[in-house]
Amino acid sequence: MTTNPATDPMGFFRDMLNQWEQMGNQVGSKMMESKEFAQLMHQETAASLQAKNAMNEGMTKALAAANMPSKADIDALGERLLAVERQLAQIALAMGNASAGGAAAAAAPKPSRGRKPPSAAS
Amino acid sequence: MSDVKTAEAPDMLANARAEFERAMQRNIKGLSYFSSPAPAVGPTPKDVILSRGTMQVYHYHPMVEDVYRVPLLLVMATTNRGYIFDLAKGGSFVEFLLKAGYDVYMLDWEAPRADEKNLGFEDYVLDFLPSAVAAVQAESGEHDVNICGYCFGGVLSLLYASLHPDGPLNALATFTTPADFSQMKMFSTWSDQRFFDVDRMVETFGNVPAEMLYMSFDMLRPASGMAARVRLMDNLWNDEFVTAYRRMDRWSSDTLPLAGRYFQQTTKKLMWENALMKGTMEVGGRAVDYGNIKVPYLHVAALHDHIVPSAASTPLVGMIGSEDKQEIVLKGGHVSLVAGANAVRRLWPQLDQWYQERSV
Repeated sequence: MTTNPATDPMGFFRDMLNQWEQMGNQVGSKMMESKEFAQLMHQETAASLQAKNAMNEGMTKALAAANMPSKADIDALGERLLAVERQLAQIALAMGNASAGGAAAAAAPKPSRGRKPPSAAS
Repeated sequence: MSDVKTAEAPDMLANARAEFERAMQRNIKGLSYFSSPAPAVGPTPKDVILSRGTMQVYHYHPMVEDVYRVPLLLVMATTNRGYIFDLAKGGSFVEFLLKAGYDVYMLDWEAPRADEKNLGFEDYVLDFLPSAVAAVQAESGEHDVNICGYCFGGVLSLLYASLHPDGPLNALATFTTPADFSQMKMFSTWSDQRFFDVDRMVETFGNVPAEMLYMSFDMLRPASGMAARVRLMDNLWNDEFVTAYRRMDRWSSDTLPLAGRYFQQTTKKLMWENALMKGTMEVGGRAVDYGNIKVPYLHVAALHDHIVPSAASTPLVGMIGSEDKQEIVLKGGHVSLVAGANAVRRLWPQLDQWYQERSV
């Protein structure tokens, strides 16, 4: 549907929004492309990383004092579980190939692979 | 003069009435927007044929009785979910390919777990991709495999192709895939070696959090997020718009974390050293040379790509060793090139046409 922008009450607002977006992207990008912005951004990041590291250390000490497992302990457990999962997946795959896989293949016939491009037919 | 005024009056009245109707609908539908779940994505039936940590390989159920001989493996970027290729029934690239007669597979990614923080290029290029290709070969019963890589999935596909020149790759297409990382100006500035301590970040987090990656993509167009939300409010009366918006919004905010070492390598080798352009790229101690790629190659760039500007991908075709190679530039942005109405009209038919004769 085409409307006359002069008589469309919302048309003016939508045009304004498009222009604002374009301008905002241009100005914002220009500002964020500067070295000063990058420097500032990474100063902030470095500060938050430092805070996170301090927090991690504090938590590890507190958990150790309470005789509770730390994040590293949980991660190590996770790794061992993952190794078990992988082995189970391999076993399931091998069993599936030997039995269920064959049955499924029989149930769902595979398509033939002789398709030619439409250009070859003409 | 008075004629113009009388002609405009009913027009203005009709527009005002339409806006009033929309305002009513906005109020009614706005409530259901906030109370309803996000629309489902990835509707095309598939089997997971290989799953190992972050790596997932899907086989989509064929939709025709006679498919092209060579199977097609889609390789997704490591930062996002593969359902961008399968957003909705009737608007799915995967469904389009299946109906066009391809046997379609996808290498997709789950968020890497804490213990996968040490994954690097050598895992992706020398293990995951070859394993996915082997799974496709086993499932299809064919030796040859065609690959189609999106964004960084394209980079991984090219690295794989250059390090496996003896096959089984038969034809390769990539889209919005960078080669000259110095041309990605914003990322280049943000990862400036003088200010960005990538080792410290990875040491602290293990895997790089998805929120950080999402934020950096979002900052590339600082005003667009706000404008998109205002447009959503304006179009709340329009179910089709709202559903499409929610699908796309769900995908773009569904960013994946990146394995720490992989992120370190990307930053150091590609952003800092620009190793692909300098010819110093190596994976697992093996030198990368795109000149080794002799299979048919197509690159598709997006005219308005704000993530991988065309200057970053233009050198690609010249670096490839194949004689059958070309680049096409299509209208659209980084995402609208591959999904949505623009993709249906432009990219999908082009890819179909290119792969047809290279899939028999």
